[in-house]
This record gives sequence, structure tokens and C-alpha cells, in this order.
Amino acid sequence: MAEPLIKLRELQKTYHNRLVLDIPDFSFEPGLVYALVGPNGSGKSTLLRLLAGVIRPSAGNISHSLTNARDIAYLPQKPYAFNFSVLRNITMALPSLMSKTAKEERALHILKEVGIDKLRAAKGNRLSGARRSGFLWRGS
Amino acid sequence: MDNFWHVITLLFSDAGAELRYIIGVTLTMSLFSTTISTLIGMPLGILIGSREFRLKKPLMRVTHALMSLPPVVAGLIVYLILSRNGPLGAFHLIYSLQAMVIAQVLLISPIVCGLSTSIASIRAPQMLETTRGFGMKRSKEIWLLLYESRSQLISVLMLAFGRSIAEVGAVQIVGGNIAGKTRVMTTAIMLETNKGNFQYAITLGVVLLLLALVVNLASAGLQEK
Amino acid sequence: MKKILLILLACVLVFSFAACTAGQTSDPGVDDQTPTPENPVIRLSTTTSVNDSGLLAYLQPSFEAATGYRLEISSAGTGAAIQAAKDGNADCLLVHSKSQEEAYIADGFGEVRVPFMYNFFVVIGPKDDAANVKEADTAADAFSAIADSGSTFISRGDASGTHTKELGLWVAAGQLESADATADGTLPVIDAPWYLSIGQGMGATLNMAQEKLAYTLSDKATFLANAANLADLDILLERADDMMNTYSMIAVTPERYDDTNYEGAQAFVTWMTSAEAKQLIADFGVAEYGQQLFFNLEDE
Repeated sequence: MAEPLIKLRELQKTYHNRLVLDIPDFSFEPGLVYALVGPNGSGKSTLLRLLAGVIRPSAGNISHSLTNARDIAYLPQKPYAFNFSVLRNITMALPSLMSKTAKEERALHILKEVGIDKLRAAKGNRLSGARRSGFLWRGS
Repeated sequence: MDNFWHVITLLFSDAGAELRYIIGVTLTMSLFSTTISTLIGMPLGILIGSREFRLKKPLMRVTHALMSLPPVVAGLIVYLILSRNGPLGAFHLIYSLQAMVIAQVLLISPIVCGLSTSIASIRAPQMLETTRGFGMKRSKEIWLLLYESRSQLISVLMLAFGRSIAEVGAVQIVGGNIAGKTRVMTTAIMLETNKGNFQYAITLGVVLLLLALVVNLASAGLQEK
Repeated sequence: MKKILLILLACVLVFSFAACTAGQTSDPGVDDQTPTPENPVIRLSTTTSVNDSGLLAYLQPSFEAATGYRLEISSAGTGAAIQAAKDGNADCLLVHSKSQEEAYIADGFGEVRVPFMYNFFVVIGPKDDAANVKEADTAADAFSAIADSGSTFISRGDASGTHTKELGLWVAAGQLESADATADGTLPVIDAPWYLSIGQGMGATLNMAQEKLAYTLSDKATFLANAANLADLDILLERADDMMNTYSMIAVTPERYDDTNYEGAQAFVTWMTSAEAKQLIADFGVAEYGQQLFFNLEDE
């Protein structure tokens, strides 16, 4: 059996002294697609945010066998678009190891793919929610 | 309208030397107190507004209470600290421009801090979720938050400046309204009104209004960008 | 919720009106002895030095009981007090600046100046008295000594009677050419680093003198009333010939404004020069400070 991609151990998250997430032991295996199902407030978003590194666990840890932590992509329910050009909004999200020109090429490519390359100079925060999600998703 | 032209001509005539000096002292004081209050209040406010921590609520309550500190009370506190028998009396700062700036900073930084907190807390949750989602360094977040909120923060800056230039209670107490040293527009207006010299008081009032207008136009220009 | 607030607000308003009218009808001690005059309110515009010394608050009840009038006292520097009368905001003046009073009458706002009492200005200064003011015979000599030693001097600078007096003394001491106002209505200022013109009342001026260990000119009553906070200062010169401070009353002319209470002002002037008032003035402050603060002028 292959080494798991992500391992959760004794993972706990508390908000204002209230335990909202408690996962003693779980592993994400490569090649599988996972669906996260549960009622409102059961901690789905919390788990995703922990995985993406948006918030830190209150206890326990998350380990992964990825070469780069940024191979984990995360798109919030309401993504924030910056008051820069659409192009810059995307390059910001690209791995910092890439060169500036490489980033721009990649970003242009993404815009074409989504079909909004004409909007590349428009301000990111003037776009509709769907378009925001579109380009930000590709960016990440 | 006559009064308006009278003011303009006086401003540039020989007789306007005292008036120009008063304007100079007023602007120096307001620029210093606005800058220092912003440097203290804004980063603090952004930090409080964008982070979650245990003391956040009490800290915000204290800030909000200080936001409504009456100017004369701020003046009195600074007076007692700086006066000859006070804890910092040895520095001989009472009745000086520095003393006026200190009192105004005490008055204005909580306002800047409180408003910056509200501004930051509007954007921060959504923005930080996005930036952390793609792994941005936490040190960069604050700068980005400042940049994204710049339009509102400029309004705060203008409010701070407006408060400083219009304030009279604190600067009268700690500055002493000394002619040619610590006399500013507002204390001069008070004095001329007390003397019954309403013509000159109105002249000063018109100049103060003009200054406020110029500052507001400048801020509008900055926010357009 | 809004309704409740409205009702509360209405209640507060009704109460405050009721309180106002109640205050007007039941003036203590007046109704029985003296008939209430037709226009019972006298607006007295006076200077901070008279008011801050507590003299008026001390005389007010006796005057009101004797005449049935009610005094509404507002105090400011002499310049502002006179301006208030010119603007129709006063019925009677009680001030202490002869030149400004004469100008006021010359402008047609009053008919006669009634000087009725005096006290003395005093030169206040630090206890160690570096300028040696104590040795001076007159205030003019004292001021020369202060200027020569370059000791800090705090000027009221607010066109008050005390400020006018001070400027006159600087002219006598040869430090100013004239004490007259310039074209734009401002009074002259000595252009020297030791001279601080602060445009504030007597109390604030004395506080600054205490803070900076400086000299200043004050009326004696205000200095004594605040002496507890002025531990490092002393009266260095008093009762010199050029230090007399004369207070006058002027009834505001009824010809400018319809609602000026000329009868009331006359009644006030008459009472203030009565034997009863003179005795009260002579007694004022004697118990508290061990000395007489205000002296009656003899009838001319």
C-alpha cells in the first residue's frame, strides 16, 4: 500500500473553548476522490481550512508527503479578489518559486482557458462572483 | 463675500504676519499630531481588526471608550503630567508645541485605532481566507490589507487631521495660547470672541474653513486614484 | 420601543418646562416684602475679576431681596463685556477700564459712568524675585526692573481691564510707545522673548505664572482667592499710587434696543451706591482673607 498523501493525527480545533472538530486518526490515500459530507456546523469547512493552512489546529498535527505544500489548492466559498488587475490577482496566487515572466505567461494561459482574457487589465474587485471564482480557481 | 476678500488680501499683506504665523503653528501642530496618531493607531487598529485573540473584545471596548475622551480631559491629564510638579516636569514641555502635539495624540490615536479596527474587520476574514488559501506569507498580509483598505484609511487620516485642526480645549490648556508661540487658529478665535473683536474672529474662522476645504479636496483627489 | 422613547422624551420636556416656570414664580423671599417689577430680569455684563472674586455672588441675594429684581450675570474680559452691551445682550455694565468705558459712552451706548468702588492691582512674581520688584516705589519702576532683568512676564493679552492697565504701565515704564489699539482692533504686544501674551483670563494667567515662575499683573482679590494653588508666587508690590483699579457701572441706553431694561439697570446702580451695599462691599472678604478687598469711592 502506497504512503498516504495526508495524515491527520489527534487533530482538534476549538473556538472559544468549544470543540468543533476532533479527528483521532485519518489518512488521505493517493488516487482516491474524497467527498466531505455532514450537517451544518459539523466542521466540514473547518477541516478544509485546516488542510489548506488557513487556520492552525488547536491540537494534534497534519503531515503530508507532498513535495510542495502549495500543491494543496483551496478556494473559499466567497473568494476575495484584490483591487489589482485580474492578471495580477492570478500571479499572486502562483507559486513564488516561479519567475515573473513564467507567472505572467501561465496567468494569461489560464485567462484564455476560462475565456476572459479580454478582462485581464480590469480590476479584480469589479468582477462578478462567478467570474472571480472562475479565475481564482484556475489560479490556485 | 466682502469678508472673504478681506481675508484673502489680509493673508498676503504686511498686516497678515500674525495671521500667517498662527496658520503656520496650526499646520505644524496638526501635521505632527496626525502623523504620530496614525503611526500609532493605524497598525494597532489593523492588527486588532484582522486577528482573533482572547483580549480582542476588552481591548476594543477600551479603545471605544477612549474615542470619546473629552478634549479638556486629555488636556488636563497632559497638563498634570508635564507641569513643573508633574512626573515629566523636568523636561519643561508645558506651554509648548510639543505639549499640544502630545495631548492631541492622546486624543486622536484612539480614534484612528478604533476606526481602523472596524475597517480591517470588514475585509480581513474574507481576504485572509483567500491569501492563506494560496499560502501567502503572514507578514505580507498586513501590507495587502492596508493597501486594499486605503480609500477608507485615507478618510480616517482626514478625520484625524480635521479633529486636530479644530480642537481647542486641550491645546488651550497645555499650550497656553501664547502669542507667537502656541497660539493656533481655534484658540485665537476663542480669544478674539472673548475680546468682542468679532471681525477678526470671523476672519480666522474663514481661514480655518478654507484650510479644511483644501485638505478635503486633497483627500478626495487621493481617494480617486 | 420607539414609542416608549418618545413618551419618555415628552415627559422630560414637560418636566423641564414645569421646573422653569416654578423657578420664576417662587423667588425666595421676594414676594412678601417687595412688589415684583414689571420687567424683573436685569442682565449684568461684568468682568471676570469681579465675578471670580465672588463679590457679585455675595451681593446678589441682598440686592434681589431689596428690590425684587433678578440678576443674570455674565462675565468676560472688559472688551467682551462691553461688546455684549453694544450688541444688546446686557442692561447694565460693571467694568474697570476708564478708556474703554469713555469710548463706549462716546459711541452713544450709555449716558453716564458711575465709578463706585476701587481696589488695587498687585504685581505678582516668584518668591525669589530676581528682578527685585519689591524695592520699586511704583508699578512703572517695577515693570522697568522686570524688563531690564529679562524675567518672564505673562500678559493677559485679552483686552481686559487688567490688560489695559498693564499696557498703560508698560508705556509709563518706557517699554511701549502707545497703549492704543491698532487699526485692526488688536492691542500692542511687546516683541521680546520674555513677554508672553496668552489671551486668557486672570486664573489661567496666574496658573501659567506659577508654572513658569514668571511675573504678572493681577487684581488682588483674584490672586488671594487662588493663592492656595499659587504656592511659589507672592504679592511683590501693592498700593502704589499707579495701581488703583476703579470699577464703574453704566446703565445701557434704552434707545438702541426695545427690550433693554433701563429701569432695572437704574435700580441696580442706585442700590449699589446705597449705604447698605457700601457696608456689604467694605465687609467683603475681611473674614476670609483678613483684609478689605474692595473699597468704596467717596461721593463726589
